[in-house]
Amino acid sequence: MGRTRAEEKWNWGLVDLAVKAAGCALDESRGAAPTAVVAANALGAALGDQRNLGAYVSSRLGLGDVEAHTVSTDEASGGSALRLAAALIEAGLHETVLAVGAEKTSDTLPDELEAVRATGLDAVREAGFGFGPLVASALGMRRYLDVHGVPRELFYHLAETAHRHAASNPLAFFPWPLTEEQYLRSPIVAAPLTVCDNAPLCDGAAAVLLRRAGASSTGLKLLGSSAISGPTGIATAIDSLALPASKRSAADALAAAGVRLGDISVFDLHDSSAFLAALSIESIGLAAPGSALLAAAEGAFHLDGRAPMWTFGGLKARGNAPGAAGLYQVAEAVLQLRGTAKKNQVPGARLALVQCLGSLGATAVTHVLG
Amino acid sequence: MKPTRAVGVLGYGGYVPRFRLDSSEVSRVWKGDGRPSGRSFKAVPGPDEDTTTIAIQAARNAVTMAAIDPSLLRAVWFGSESKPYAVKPTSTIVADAIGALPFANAADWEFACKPGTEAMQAAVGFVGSGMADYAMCGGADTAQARPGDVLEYHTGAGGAAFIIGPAEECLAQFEASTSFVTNTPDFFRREGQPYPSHGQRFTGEPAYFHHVRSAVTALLAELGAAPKDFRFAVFHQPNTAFPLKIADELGFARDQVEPFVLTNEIGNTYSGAVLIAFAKALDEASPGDRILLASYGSGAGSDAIAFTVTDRVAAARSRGIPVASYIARRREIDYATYARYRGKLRFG
Repeated sequence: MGRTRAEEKWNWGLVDLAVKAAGCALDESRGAAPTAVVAANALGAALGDQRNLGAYVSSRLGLGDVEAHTVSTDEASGGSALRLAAALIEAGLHETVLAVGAEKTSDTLPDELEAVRATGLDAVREAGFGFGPLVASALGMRRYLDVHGVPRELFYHLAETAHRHAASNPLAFFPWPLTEEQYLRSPIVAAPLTVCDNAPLCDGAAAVLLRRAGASSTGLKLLGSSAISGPTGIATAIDSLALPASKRSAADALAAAGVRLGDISVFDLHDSSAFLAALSIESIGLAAPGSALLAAAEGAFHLDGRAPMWTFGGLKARGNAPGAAGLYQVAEAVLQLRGTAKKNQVPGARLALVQCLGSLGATAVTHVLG
Repeated sequence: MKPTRAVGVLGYGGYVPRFRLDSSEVSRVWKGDGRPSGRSFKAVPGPDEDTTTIAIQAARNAVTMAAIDPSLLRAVWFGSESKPYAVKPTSTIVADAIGALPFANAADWEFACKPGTEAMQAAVGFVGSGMADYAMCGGADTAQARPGDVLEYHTGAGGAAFIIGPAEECLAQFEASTSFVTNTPDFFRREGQPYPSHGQRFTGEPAYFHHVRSAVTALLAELGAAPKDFRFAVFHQPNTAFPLKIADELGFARDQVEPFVLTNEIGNTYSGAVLIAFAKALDEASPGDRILLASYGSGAGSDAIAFTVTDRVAAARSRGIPVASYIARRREIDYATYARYRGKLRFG
């Protein structure tokens, strides 16, 4: 696997980022080169950036004639790319497939970026009326506070967890801890959502090379995966305070892997906003409805907690390069399972569950690795 | 870079309009949340002021301090990004007003916020080559920003002028300068557009910090000098954070830099910024002090220049008007008056 530092990489373009991450993945692998590439990118086409990314990455890597596709399921693109890469192998069409996700956000000013992100929601009924993921998350957070009656400040612990882990990740966008005072002073973006309740958009790329597992394979395996696209509409998630696609996708992936939630050593859920982070935790069953924040406050998601989460910073502190998010999650899970996560190591990590979401949770892609 | 003939500053003058807008007024009108800050203001030109009038006043102050016959000036070079005419030099109007014409080179300079230090280097070269004995350079702006834009908090107005002449007559001798320039579109305004476009976060590290850092580092290397060798350091100041941050990074102490960060008093005066702050540094310096200045212009580049103050400085200052007195001369106005003075209201 390979990943770039999540940052504002002013001098690099989308293809440069993807090629870098892919190159790292190819460099650390032994054996044949991939004969297929599945690229992931969420916003590029709408931003006027490189389309058909897979073809351009393959060409720059000198892979020759390969099967190359480019996948876009909003912020779940990276997860989708990996699932489809695995499917190409399972279908018997290829032995080795590269999944590479990338995003270039720093060439676009914030207002335009949010308008483009909004088209991951309903383009006519939501984006068309100015509802983007920020506003949707703000409304969701408002409802969460009203229904569950938890103190507003409790949301701090989600960001605290992410930043605590990013502090020892040199590839993180925000490699520093976050104090409660800093959180409480954070400016409002869309009430009650503040800057610290929202993952920063950045440039980044991550890649994972998959190979058919032979009978004697001893390496890490993709044990199970599931991609579910359920009912869309921000009202669905906000009204019910649940993410059915997240719940179903996680359950299916665990079932496919033949393991239970309690067996998982390391998690990474989609914390593009504090709202989605809290709902994901509850939807997959790591906390009862309304209890995600309390669990976070108790340290449940710290490296030494009962469900280590965002172990390299998550989207909030490692950074959100939307098309690459799902693959950063997998790349970081690989480090955990190999035992090479250094200061971020969860001792004895055996199984990882990672999930990325698109369109405010309407699309969920989950992978279980071990 | 050094001239073959030793040269220096013979006279200088600043000018800042008297009106002040509390930047919280911008928040109050556009975001509905501004209580008076009482701590961050920008200078606003009056209804009968513009870049040219500001430049003329600064130029007159410089001529008075230099105490030379202005007709001996062989160049009058002003830089601005808000000159009244796209075609018609402000510099000829200034040159005429101060009596420098007709035997003078007069042209306008543009490099976002740093044409003044470009013109200064050219004036050093002009006199330093022996082509002239006296040359005037300066920068002035009445900066504009789109109403409600983040730039509007600090777009100020002001200017300063410097007369360069032989070192034997100077109050501060030119040591050396370095320019570091790239083609970087961090901030720009197309012909006919009233307000500039800016790259937000792109105007930070890849723009301001990279160029200022590079120019200053190169100049210090050329001089074999270190930050502690200077009494004062003057940096371009689009806000208060940037100059203090680069100063810390380069190894300058706060007391070398902070008295010359004027953004909270008069805003960012764009082409006037570094020159007004340099004038204030000269107002407070003693003979033997070394002063470093580093401008920044979007587009992008930085000029780093070093001077050594001579024992003529006190006598020269006695003929000048201190920058501090222009800063202290102030009248607060509200956003409505500011919008009227700055021509932001559409009439039909």
